[in-house]
Amino acid sequence: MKYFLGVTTLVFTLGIASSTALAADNKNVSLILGVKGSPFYQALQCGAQAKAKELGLNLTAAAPDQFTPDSQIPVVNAVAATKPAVVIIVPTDTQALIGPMKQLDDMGTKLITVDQTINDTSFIKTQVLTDNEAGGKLAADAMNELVGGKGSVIVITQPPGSTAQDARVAAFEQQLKNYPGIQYLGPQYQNDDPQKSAEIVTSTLSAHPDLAGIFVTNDQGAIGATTGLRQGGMAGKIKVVAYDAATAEVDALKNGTIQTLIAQNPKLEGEVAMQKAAELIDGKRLDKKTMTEIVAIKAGDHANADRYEYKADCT
Amino acid sequence: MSAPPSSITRPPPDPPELPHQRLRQLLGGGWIFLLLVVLIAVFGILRPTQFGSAYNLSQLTINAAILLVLSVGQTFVIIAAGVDLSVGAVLVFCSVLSAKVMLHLSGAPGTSFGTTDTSWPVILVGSITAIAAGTAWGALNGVLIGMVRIPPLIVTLGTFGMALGFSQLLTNGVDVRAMPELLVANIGSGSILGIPSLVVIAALVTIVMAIVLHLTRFGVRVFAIGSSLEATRRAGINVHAQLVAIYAISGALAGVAAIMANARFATTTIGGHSLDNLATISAVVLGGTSLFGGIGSIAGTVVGVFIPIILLNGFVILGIPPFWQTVATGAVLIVAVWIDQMKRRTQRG
Amino acid sequence: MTVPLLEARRICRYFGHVRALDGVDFAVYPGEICALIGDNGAGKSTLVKILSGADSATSGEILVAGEPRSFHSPGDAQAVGIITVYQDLALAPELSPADNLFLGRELLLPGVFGRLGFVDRPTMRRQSAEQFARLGVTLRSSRVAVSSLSGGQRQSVAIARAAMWANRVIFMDEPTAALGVIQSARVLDLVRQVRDAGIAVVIISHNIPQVIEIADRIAVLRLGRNAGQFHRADATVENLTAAMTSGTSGIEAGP
Repeated sequence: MKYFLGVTTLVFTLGIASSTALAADNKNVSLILGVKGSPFYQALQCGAQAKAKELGLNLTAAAPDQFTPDSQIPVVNAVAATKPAVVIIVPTDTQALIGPMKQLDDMGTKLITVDQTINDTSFIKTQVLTDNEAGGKLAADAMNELVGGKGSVIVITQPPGSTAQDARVAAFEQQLKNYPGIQYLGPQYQNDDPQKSAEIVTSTLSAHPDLAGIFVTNDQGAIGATTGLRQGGMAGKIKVVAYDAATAEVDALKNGTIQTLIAQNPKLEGEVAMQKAAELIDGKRLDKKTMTEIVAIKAGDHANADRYEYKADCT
Repeated sequence: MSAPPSSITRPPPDPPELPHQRLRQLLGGGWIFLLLVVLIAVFGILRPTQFGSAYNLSQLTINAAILLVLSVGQTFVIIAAGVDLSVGAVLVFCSVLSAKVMLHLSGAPGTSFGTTDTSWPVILVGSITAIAAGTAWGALNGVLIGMVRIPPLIVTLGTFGMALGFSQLLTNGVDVRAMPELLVANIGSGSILGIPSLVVIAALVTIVMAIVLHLTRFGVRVFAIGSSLEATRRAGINVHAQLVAIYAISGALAGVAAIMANARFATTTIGGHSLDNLATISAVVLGGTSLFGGIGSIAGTVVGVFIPIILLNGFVILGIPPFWQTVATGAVLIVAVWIDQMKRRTQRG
Repeated sequence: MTVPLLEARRICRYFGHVRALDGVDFAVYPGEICALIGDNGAGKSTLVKILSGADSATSGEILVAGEPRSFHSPGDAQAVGIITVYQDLALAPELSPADNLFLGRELLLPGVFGRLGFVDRPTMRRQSAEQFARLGVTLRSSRVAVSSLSGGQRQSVAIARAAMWANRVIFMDEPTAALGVIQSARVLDLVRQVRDAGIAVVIISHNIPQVIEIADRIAVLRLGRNAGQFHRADATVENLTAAMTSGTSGIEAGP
């Protein structure tokens, strides 16, 4: 036992004594996703990995078990210890991640945010975003068209604190004001839980039989909402506009449960983020924001649906 | 009076207890502590500058701090043959209540972002609120379990839901994002004599509670209740009051953890902490405490808390794909407890 | 005539129509081992529960050292030095013998530490070692959990505990029922040690040969009534069995 501890201490000291500075030719990039097991983030990872290979960069990916800061921060800390040149991160909270990310910056690592962002962006080299305001507007316009300008509408989203979703909801609500025939019932919150989404839909159906449309701001919520509608026997009768194009959502679009998808291009976002990381390593200065595309896919447009589907297996 | 029959043989007296046997006893059989050392050594050898850096090691202890405080409370409960599933939700409730109180006393509007400019007395009031609220939830658990005789699993599952529900009612599901600057800067990211403040708090809590559990009469009775509720009752001990106190301790420590979480994250995290209860239970069991009660130690819990944290940290540093991390952590847990059980059985026999 | 340590007069216990005890007299004298025997349903357990405070009689008197008393809880009986060792022993399996001996009566350190609740483990261990030595009990180890001791040793710990805190009467319910021959012999030895230490012992038992071997006096119950009393010298398996099953009065005797 004593011998064992002695050897360990020796190796430790040797290890720490050796150089700890950030190597000048450091081509290591770390990608920290928002959560494990999300098709959006998996597609993002695919895009990043393909691009990393192309550019000759060393990419490692990590993800927390849950989309919450107390789950993500230990992962951020561990990544920080590996001293990568660039970290691409999807922050799970606009406030709680500021501290840990600042620590990364202090240690010399350059930061890129993707999909979500934080309140203090002064030390972020660039934020890769889709235009969530545009997305919310598109959704409102699509909703108006689908419900024929009248009826009640709800929004199913995550609790405030996720910038992307907050922006989508705000833009949707704002644009909806242009359509006086539509009665807006307000937002309902679910924490990325399809089960909860389904429950929200069934309860709302009971309370408001004149419910005409639902806007869901992310993929997990959409999956749950469609389940709720099928349970209530209202699939197809109530119009659904959903953000994202996970496989389940694309299927729902094709079989008529969802009428319009507001699709981002996570694979492209991953590629773009990787490209920006390469530029950072080369010493270039970047714009504060890098926007990627967002499209509305209507029912029947199967070609685009397939094209924009978030594929988790990197095909 | 008759003399004992000569056919009865007398067993030899006890050999004196060797120091390493006592150490072993304290560390749940020693096996788990060895596992911890092995893990540290392996990751340290594979990635010395990254895993072994001062930064990483201090982050590990900070990450462990909040979970450790919760797990110390859970240790008391599990040794008493109970279980407390409400810990994560009570933490959330206490953090929300305390944050709202501090925000209100600071005069800032309810939707503030960032940090507020309030003083230490306000922070003290917020902290007392958190601990008092946690103690109240814990006492409720204890009353329902001890006096109304509902099984702990059911009661604490119920209070889990209630505490979380009340948190969401209090806030409409929206996190309180304005914490006192002094709290965040000095406790959340500050240090005392070079050691992160959160770690100092966790260490103090652990040491004090270890003293209570292993050296006081109250602690002896915790073990007694876990070992045999009936025997303890027949010995004239008020088991109802004792159970209320035990669960109240768990709740109070959740309140302390809430203060630490507020300081660390600079926001309440209503959506988080839902799996804290399982994390504390596995830490306690990993550390050698028996789920059936009567056996356990705080030192074991400390080891049990660090093992999953070090595993996660090491796996991320090594770049192991996220899903494999989950598989590996689960496997280590099972193997560790299994070997521990086998050792116990050979010791008994 | 010696005053009985504990006496029951005309005890009746009715549960609705069932007459568990119907006017039973019973007495325990200092320095003796008294056995209480009877067939199933004779009322032995009921009588012991009443005399140790776990139950109340419907009618009748209890006298402690000649003074009438009433017990409303086991605590009341324990307060006058009467303790019962039940069949399930009521030991905490994971605790050590010393911890079990002092369960509920833990010794505290002197001074300010004591007031904070710190236990005095060295003194408890020492005093329990003395108690075991006094009673001739040798344990495999005094630091292990009681659950890892043999059945006979566990029984010894339970009896030693009762002997430590009782100073008048110890009731034992079937002390050797679950034990093998050698272990039973050791436990009976211990019972004699307890009597010699000045505490009267009352044993409920089904094991007639053991009863004859150990008891100074044997009281028989049958269907809730006295069915005879015997001194060891006059007791045989036959007349005891006869008294248990058909109620012959046997030989009346004083101490």
